[in-house]
Amino acid sequence: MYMVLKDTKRDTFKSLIDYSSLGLEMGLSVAIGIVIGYFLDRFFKTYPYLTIIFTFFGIGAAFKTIIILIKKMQKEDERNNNK
Amino acid sequence: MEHEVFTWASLFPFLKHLPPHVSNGIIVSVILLIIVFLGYRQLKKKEDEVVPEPNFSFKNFVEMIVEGISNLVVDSMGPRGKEFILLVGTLALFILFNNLSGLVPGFLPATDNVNTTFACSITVFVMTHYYGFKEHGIKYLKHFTGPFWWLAPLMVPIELIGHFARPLSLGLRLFGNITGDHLVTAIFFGLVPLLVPLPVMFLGLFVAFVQTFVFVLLSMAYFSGAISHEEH
Repeated sequence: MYMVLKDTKRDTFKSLIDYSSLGLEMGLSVAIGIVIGYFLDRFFKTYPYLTIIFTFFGIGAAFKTIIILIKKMQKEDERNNNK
Repeated sequence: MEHEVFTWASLFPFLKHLPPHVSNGIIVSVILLIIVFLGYRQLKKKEDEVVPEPNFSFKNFVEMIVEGISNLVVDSMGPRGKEFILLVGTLALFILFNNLSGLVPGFLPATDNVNTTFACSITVFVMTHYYGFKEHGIKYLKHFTGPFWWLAPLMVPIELIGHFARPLSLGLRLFGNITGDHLVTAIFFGLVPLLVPLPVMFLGLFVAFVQTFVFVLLSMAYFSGAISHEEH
């Protein structure tokens, strides 16, 4: 199926996959942050401080995925403009 | 009257007592092995032929699969992609055939169980970092520390969480899509078995290909991120 598509459509399809994976990855980043913080808290018995800190780390990771994607978008735009 | 649900796995005595995702995974793997073995023997036999055969044969089919996968890998990863053809191709074939087996009555696709999908995605996760360390040595750890050294205490947890989110999202997406599709097909089959499930099954065909493609493309993106030399 992928082989049949033309070059431009292929690029569209690829970026579609990139963008559609953003939502899931953002949500999971926050969830993983919370889970790591929760278990560290249970281990060190410091509830709730580490949970809060790691929640913010998770949010930071989520934003980092957006930033990486934006950089990728800009690169693709430049490449398309140079064509 | 309740009767036992037929599965292909129940035909084999030694597969009967295994959980369905294991037994069906084994059956699909054996089918794949047979295809690969026959294709390998045919390719070896006719290696010196230059002129392609006039009609579509089994040999053409195998060649088409191999060439399609290697083109896809080299297209999206550049010339370095050749190192990854074996791993990516194995994952692609295994996931694709498992997804498609969900459309055959009597098969429960192995990919609609979290264990199988997470096995695949954790393989990708481990191999990503293996290739990263192989490429950069101990300097690979610099990928995690961010642009400045004094940002490292902030960036290391963020990067770690981001890296853990990747295999989780890979496995969860494949599992969710295949389970959902299989469930919808099963429900429509239960309601009206005649003709109504056909569009849903066609959708299932589409989902099987697209999900394989998504899995493979994202894992290739992770691989090329691990072996790239630019700062990111």
